[in-house]
Amino acid sequence: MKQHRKNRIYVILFVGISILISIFLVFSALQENINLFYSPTDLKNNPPVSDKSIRAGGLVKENSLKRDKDSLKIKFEITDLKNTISVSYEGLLPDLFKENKGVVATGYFYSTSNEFIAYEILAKHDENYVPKEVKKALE
Amino acid sequence: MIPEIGNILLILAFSVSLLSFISATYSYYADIKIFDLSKNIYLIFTLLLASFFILEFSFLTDDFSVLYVANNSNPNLPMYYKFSALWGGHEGSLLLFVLIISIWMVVFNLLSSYSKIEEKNLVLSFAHLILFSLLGFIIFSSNPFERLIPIASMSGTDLNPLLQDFAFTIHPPILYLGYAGLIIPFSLALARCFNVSEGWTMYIRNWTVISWSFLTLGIALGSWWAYYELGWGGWWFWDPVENSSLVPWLLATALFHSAIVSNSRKIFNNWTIVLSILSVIGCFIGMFLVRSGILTSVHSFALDPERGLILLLITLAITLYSFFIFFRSDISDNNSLNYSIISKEYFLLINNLFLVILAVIILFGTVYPIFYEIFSDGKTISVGAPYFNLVTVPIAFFLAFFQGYGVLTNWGSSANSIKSFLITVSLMIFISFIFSYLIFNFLSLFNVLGIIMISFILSGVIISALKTYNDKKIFLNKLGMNLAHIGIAVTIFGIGVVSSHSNSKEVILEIGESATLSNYEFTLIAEDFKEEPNFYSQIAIFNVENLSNGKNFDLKPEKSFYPASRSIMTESAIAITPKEDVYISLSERLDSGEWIAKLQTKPFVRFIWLGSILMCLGGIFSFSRRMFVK
Repeated sequence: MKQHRKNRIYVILFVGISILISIFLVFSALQENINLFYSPTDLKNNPPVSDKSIRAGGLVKENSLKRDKDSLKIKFEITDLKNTISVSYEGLLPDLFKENKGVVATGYFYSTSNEFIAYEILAKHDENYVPKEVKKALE
Repeated sequence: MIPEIGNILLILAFSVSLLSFISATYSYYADIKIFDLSKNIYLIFTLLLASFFILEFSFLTDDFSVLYVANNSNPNLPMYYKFSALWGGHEGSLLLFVLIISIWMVVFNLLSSYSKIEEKNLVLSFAHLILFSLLGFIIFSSNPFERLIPIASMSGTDLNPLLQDFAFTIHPPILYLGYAGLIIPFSLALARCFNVSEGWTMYIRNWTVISWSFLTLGIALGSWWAYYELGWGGWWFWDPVENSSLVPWLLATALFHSAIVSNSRKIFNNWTIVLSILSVIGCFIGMFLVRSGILTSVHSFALDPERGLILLLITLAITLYSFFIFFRSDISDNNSLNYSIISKEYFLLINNLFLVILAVIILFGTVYPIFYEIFSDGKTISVGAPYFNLVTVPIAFFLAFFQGYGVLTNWGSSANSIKSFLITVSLMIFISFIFSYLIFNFLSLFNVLGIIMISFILSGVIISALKTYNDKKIFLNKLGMNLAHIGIAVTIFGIGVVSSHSNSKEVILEIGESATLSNYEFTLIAEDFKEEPNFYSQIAIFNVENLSNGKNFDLKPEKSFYPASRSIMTESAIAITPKEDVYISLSERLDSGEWIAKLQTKPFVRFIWLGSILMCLGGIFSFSRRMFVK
């Protein structure tokens, strides 16, 4: 019986420690890996203070897409019809990336130059679909 | 006229299901003998099947007066895809889901025998609870037979081009077989709370195993589909929809392991019941997340907040009802049992602990953005894939670590084979290091973890198989488990290699130009164009030369345009070699005539799905052996 009770204590300790470690893991991972969403107006009024990556979204401004010759460097502007930011990106654009359509870019914002360096560009698969955040940014 | 018949059949099925639930519950409480309600399920199945084929008929005959058909089909769609377009949207896929629930109820009814008919009625009544809730949801807010009034469209919108694909046609039905099957253990567990205890642990175990097998295959099919059809070679994106399928999978995995303990040792009984309930609630939460549009995901069903609200209410009602029943019940464990710290009981406890923690943290990361938005005054965030990788890998590591020796332990107390286990593990780790180093030249931390995990799992399996080899009966009893465990090791191998040894390069090429990646040389040799009834494609033809042996082959990735839905599709081209996949996808054609393309090599990526197939086969074998071999 004594052995039984001892085992029970071991188990409770083991379960408790595992849960604590998991909670610690979850919160430390969350700290590093959440991306706040900003509209161009948000970026103008309250630019992000930390150097963490963020997401910025809105419509791709008409006639703003410029492609570098002989490389995959791209520049375009995102607008929420009130403010605009310029975005640079190197890589492939998604199929549904079009001017005047919704887009969400993930990357880093430099408020001094009002420039957004993106490492990921998302445009959704359904052409009528506007990302929730973009819809809100346009209101 | 015909679609209206379909609608009436749905309403009939709903009524029969609701009545079966009410009469079974009433007869149980009032203790009235009642006729065999289990036959009702044949009627419901027939009604739903007829309703399903009526909707199929509308699809195949291009009846665009039906709104759902108009939204998801097109006259130019090939016949095969017209058939599968039925489950291409919210309403139709839900109809398929309830049909599959009724199939499982029929199969359960056929394969299980109860000495008292009231008990069987009661078990099925809880499945009816879910069936009529979903049927009500379909009839009142997601009716696939709704007409497009006043004027019928002549052409239809089209099935989303991403879904015009073989894997898509079988992915939803198989996945739904998995989800819907979990309703059987759920019903068994709730019936157990009403003292229906005949064979309940064995039944829960078997029905969970078979549902789990389909769930595994369904998830793997989805991953395979995303790999070649989304066009960019990823096999898992931690997308909310994927997570919504992974959470019930993890809970179901925990469930049948726990049911094994309940069955053999009469302990963990309450825990098994809780897990049975949670697995189904996990499916419902997933259904809510996917179909309410509350989270942004690649699987965008038509977004409708009203539907989301109804689904949320159904989920809440089922949760409250189940736990109300559970907390009123009084089920005791066998308390006189003694077991030491190195026993199968404890190893399975650890297995359950880690699986449930995994499920919770994945669900947490998935719904965190919703709560963040509520509590931060409308600021929105997204939780990136690195979060999921960071939290799941360490826990999966410990899971594999304990899984390896766990299969060798016995009930009660024993520390057998520990020496041979340690020797095998060390040997395997040593050999794998040498081999991996010879093949890949470098190893990341992730690979080292992977090697240790695989060595632990496989050592357990090998020793277990060797020990039982002489006793054919025990060997076969364990074969299903061993196959599934090998499957896990194979999948881990695939994930480990492809995550750290893939190569990729984005290039701009004009005809005649070449680019080199890893030991392949890619040359763009020509362009082509093709026209199909419902789309047309630009094709770039690449010649790929393997620089180490001089062999070469052609790859023809396409860029397709679907006029009906005005959408563009990236059709990747993949060459499968023994070691790796060579993968090309086209981005766009520049005005200068140059193509932007992404070149990739994906070593051993197919092991990810091969492992899943092994898991599925193991599960099916284990189910069949326990159900049919007496």
